[in-house]
Amino acid sequence: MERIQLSSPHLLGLEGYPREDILAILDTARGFLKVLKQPIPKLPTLRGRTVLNLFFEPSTRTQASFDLAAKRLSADLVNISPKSSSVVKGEHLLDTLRNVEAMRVDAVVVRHRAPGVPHFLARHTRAAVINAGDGAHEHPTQALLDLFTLREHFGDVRGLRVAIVGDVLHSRVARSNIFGLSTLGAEVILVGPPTLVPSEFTRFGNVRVVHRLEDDLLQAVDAVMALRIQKERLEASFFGSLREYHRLYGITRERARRIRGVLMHPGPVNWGVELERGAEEETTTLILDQVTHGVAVRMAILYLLLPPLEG
Amino acid sequence: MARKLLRGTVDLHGNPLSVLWEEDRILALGPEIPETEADEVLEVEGTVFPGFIDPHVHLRTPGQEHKETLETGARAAAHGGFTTVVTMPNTDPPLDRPELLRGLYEEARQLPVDVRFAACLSVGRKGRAIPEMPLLAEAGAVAFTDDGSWLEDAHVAYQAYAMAAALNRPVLSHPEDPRWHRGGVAHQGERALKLGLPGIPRESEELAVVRDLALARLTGVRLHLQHISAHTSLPHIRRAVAEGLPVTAEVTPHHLLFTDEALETFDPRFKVNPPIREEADRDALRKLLPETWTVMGTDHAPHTVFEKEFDWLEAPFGLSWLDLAFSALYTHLVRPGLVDLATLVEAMTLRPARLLGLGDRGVLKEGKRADLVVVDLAATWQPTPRNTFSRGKNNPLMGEMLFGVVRLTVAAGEVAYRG
Repeated sequence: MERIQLSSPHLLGLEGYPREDILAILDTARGFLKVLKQPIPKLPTLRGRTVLNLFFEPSTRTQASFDLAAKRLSADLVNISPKSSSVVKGEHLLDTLRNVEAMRVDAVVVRHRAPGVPHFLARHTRAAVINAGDGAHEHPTQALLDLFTLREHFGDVRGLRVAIVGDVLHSRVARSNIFGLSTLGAEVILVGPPTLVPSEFTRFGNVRVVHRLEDDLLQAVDAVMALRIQKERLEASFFGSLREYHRLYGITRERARRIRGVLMHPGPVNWGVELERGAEEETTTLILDQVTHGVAVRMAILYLLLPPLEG
Repeated sequence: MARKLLRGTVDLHGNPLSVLWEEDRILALGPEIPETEADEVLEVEGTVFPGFIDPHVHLRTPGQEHKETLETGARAAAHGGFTTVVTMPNTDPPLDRPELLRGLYEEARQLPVDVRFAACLSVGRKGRAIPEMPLLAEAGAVAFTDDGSWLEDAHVAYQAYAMAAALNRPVLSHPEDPRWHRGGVAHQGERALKLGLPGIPRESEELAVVRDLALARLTGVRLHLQHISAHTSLPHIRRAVAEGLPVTAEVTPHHLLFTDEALETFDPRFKVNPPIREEADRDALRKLLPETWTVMGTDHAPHTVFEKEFDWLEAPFGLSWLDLAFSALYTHLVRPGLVDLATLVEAMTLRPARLLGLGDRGVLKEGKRADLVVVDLAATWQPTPRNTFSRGKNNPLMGEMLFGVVRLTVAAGEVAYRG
């Protein structure tokens, strides 16, 4: 496989991330997806390389996905999940950094509740830093796997219309998708209550904001991405009740039937809130493809950021 | 009695100006004072100003001496040309008892500059009851403040402001109604939204300002609105001033120099409360400086490097300023012609003196306290963790080349710093 040089040694976010680099990652991921379907889905490419999964925030899916991606490429993998309670105030970032440096790892996959932590680490380490989610800021690998999924399904992302429904305000997935989709020439329609989808989001890309999930919209768009609604948003008064949210913005079976395109969700799903159980059976659903594609995309990212060792 | 003469210096128009003083009082000023008048001559090149007065610093004592002590704070002040500073009572314990204040004044006697203490506006800064304000005033409280938070309860605030008015002490209010946000850490605007940072809206300040102005009208208190950050607060303050209320607005170096564009760096040294806001806010504050009711306060908030290097959500708020405030403002506002030197100096001398009721300082005049600073405006320096005296090195201008090197600081007639 031809190995293209990405313009940045890190993957911190999709804001301002070059189109060519996104396409290079997506092209490379396609090759790895084939590998994953082979009887022995493993390559020796990153033998001798070490990847550190540094997850300050608990995650099962993303961490497992990176875990698998590294192993499929024969890299060694270390998982660290520093305790991050508000009482202990979290491990000090400089200490973390010194430890990372001392371990001489080649790539650090970092997730943290605070925006900017991967950027901070990137400034202070020689390892390639991959943002696996920094607070409500960005989650570029998730958006890349979403772009990959759309591209596999539709052939091209340019010209697609994608509705992102739900808690955009607190969503790193939404932000990265807004940037990535806009860069590739898609149109983004953000849907949700005004409290969770402020109109200022229109300034961040090729974005429209609507506060009603109309049937016409479901029929007009190529993809509907439902976002996870966290129950604590209810306590903070962003909407009146989960029932109300579900009624206005939930993808019910009824609504799912009206989706002309595809249904996506970054997972894990809060069934009964943003998706009604069974909704996935009413339309073309790519939710599990997203999971499979996640491994291929993350393999591509590791591969492109880490030059193979010689000899 | 020893008489000292400062010569070789010029005034802010560049005309030669020598100063003669005896003990802590200025005896004479003039273009040429004969050396024979003095027992000691200080020959220094540079521009001589009245010693700077900072109505808003955090010297962290008692309780957080790892961030700053009275000693390191006073030395940083002297290094920055400040001869009087007022330190805030949000310490551990908070300064809400006269005994505490007396003990601190005892310690402060040794210091190279005049450190004054403000006392709490409410018991324990909890906003539920007023402290022994007359006894605190007797013990030397120059002002009352719950700085760090706003006295939310209007009933308690009413009593506290009325009491301060009767004691002829200003209230230094931190106008920010926390009910406007949930854990905000940055200006609520496009940039914070894009970066996923919880915001603090302008309105949290504006509405607190409006409440405070209403209380100033009711009680007649001298109201000083600390660290104004939002352009939307300004029309309310202007109206109150026009009405004749005794109100002053504080501007800080960071709100004059930075904008929320800095958020893009995720450098927690820019994290401050109230937050640095947009260009429109910064520019409105710059235009405010010529108003005589505007007072420079640095909100000097030292933190250790270790504390400040947390992520943006966890890092504490505040910048360390005493060592470099004048140089920073001179370099970035006066030299580019955005603010004139006389205005900047007045905002750092005469206006804070008036606010604090310190009639004996803030100008260079016969009979006034011999508080002065000599700055070589043409010389440059680079503030670094090594050449600054504050324990707090948390300022993004560290390492930058700044104009304006303090050559001499004299406080109450004594040399407090000589570079």
